[in-house]
Amino acid sequence: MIAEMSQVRTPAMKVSVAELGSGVPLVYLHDVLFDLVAVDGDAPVLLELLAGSHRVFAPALPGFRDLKQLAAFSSVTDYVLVVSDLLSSLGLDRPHVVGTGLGGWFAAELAAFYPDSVGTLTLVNAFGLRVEGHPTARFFDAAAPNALGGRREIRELLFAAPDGPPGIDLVPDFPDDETNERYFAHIHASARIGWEPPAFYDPRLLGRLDRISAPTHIVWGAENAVVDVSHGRAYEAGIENAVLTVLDGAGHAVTVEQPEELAKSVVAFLEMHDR
Amino acid sequence: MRFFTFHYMPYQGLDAVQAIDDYGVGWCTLPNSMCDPGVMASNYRDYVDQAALADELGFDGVTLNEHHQTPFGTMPSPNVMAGAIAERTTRARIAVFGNALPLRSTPLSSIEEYTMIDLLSNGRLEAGFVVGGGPEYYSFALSPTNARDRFAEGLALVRRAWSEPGPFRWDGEYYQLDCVNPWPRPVQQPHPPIWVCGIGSPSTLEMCAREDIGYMGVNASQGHVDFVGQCEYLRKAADEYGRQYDPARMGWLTHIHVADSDEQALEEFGAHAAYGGLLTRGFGGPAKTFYPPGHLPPDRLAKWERQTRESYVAKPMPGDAPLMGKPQTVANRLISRLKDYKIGNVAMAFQWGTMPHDMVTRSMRMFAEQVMPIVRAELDAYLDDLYPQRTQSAMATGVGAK
Repeated sequence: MIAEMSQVRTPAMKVSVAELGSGVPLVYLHDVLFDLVAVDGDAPVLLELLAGSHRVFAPALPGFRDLKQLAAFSSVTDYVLVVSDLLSSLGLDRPHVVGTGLGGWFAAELAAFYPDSVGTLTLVNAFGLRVEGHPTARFFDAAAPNALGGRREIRELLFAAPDGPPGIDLVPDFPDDETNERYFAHIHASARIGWEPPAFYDPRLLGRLDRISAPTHIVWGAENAVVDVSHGRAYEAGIENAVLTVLDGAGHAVTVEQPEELAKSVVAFLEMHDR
Repeated sequence: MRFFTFHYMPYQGLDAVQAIDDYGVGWCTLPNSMCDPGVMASNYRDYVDQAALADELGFDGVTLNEHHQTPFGTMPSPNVMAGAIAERTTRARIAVFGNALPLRSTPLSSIEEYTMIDLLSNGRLEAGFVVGGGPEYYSFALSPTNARDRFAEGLALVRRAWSEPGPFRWDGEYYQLDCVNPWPRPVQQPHPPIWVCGIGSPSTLEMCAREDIGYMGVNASQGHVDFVGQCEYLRKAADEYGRQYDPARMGWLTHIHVADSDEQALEEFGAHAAYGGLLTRGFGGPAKTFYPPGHLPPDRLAKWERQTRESYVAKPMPGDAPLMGKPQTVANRLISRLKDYKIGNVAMAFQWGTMPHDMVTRSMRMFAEQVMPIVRAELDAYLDDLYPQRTQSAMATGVGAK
């Protein structure tokens, strides 16, 4: 399925947004890798599945299409504001908000900053919390350029099966320059906020989770080695109206490892709250 | 033409092969329990002696550099070492190549320490500044994505603080200071010569040409053609900014070993180079983490990975190892290189890896007595001819001066 691509103007910047499917609006915030719609509108399988029942709005987070945009972004607040502005620009009133990994963190912050702007909240393998004894993995260490060693280290973090499909296809050991450039660009964009301590989390977020009023669905890969399932449980415990689904055999890259199972679980929850 | 010694000051008490085998890394996470303070102290004593010897032998200067959390280079504070060397030398320039500005919470601390070195040495400091290596961004948990911006602002602050009377206010993106007013002031006025040390980023070369800052190419393992390209780029950029190119503000870093015969030099160097080479490769695993994401733009990272893979040789030898040989060989090759580069400074690492003190000092003496005079005469004549207006020091005349 090819998404319609547009540039949406917000006060801070133009945001590239992919739209596909029809139905109740769903805003999808992507992770570091794998679930960003391609420039030509080619959408990942998960988004096609979600678009089967909902109108999916999938923005590219600042910097992911154009690294120059990062100049104005240095804190999680910068990202929350641009996503909030984007909802207004798109005229979306309390849409479903689904976020994975990095995008899941921003979705959780958005729902805590502006509880009234979110219809339902779905967090998939979301970054954002510090959980004692379960630190977020050394992501950028594993993602670093490695001329001889290939990409196994990052695959081990991201996939339940590091040497099987889809990991070996999506993150090959020695990619061509174009694939590699895109990989580094995405790592670069996420390093803007994920590198410096607190790395990939906001120490204040846990304390404001109780501001979230939207019905919340937390979905976690049982084998997630980046942010393990204890982070999912912490979200579940901190948000009043939350349920947790754990997907067996899935890692952090659940959007490409088990798109069908994930879509089924996500949509089942959304349909209970469609209005 | 100025001749500097260069020193990484490695910790020599490690079984590097074993360390890389066991831990896969030579930086960041290599356990510091492997550092024996007794060995380190003895290494330091040799290295300071080598600096004193360089002074005695007539080298124009000695060069230090900064690295963190690695036995590869054990100068987390090159400024401390510079203070020690200031007291053991009388005429050699003391070049710190350089302070990693972004790793400091404020550039003011670098200005203060540099000024102290300049005062203690009676005006012998060459003040180098670096962005810092990839591994250091892991060690300091500092985002590499804005390292270059942070560095550029820090450098601008340094230059202003050393050029304009204080106090003044600084409202930058990365640094906000009510009161920039460093005491004391350096012997060299308006300030010690400023260098930026780089690995050939066009943006760095551009900045040096535009701002009239010295450029020291510090990637000792880069190829000859690469560095010729950097030199050409900088001269062209200087032209475009309407500045006269001055060879005194451009330098090259290389490894060197002089012995009685070419065979002996290569053999001795090879036997001790592996150690340093291994630790370089072990930045964070084989050929990993030199340049973390964001430290260089994505297209350069992709290219770097491919080229490193294609050019990788299992037995590490820095660069194409041109300067290993008997005095005549080294003189010929050095003259040919420097003429290709058209530059007025060369920094040479006589000590590398596990090379022992006696071997290092022997090589330094042979160079000073049998190579340096020949190369100096030849290059001075060559550069005078090409650039009659050239100066003898890397001292710029001040901020924005033409």
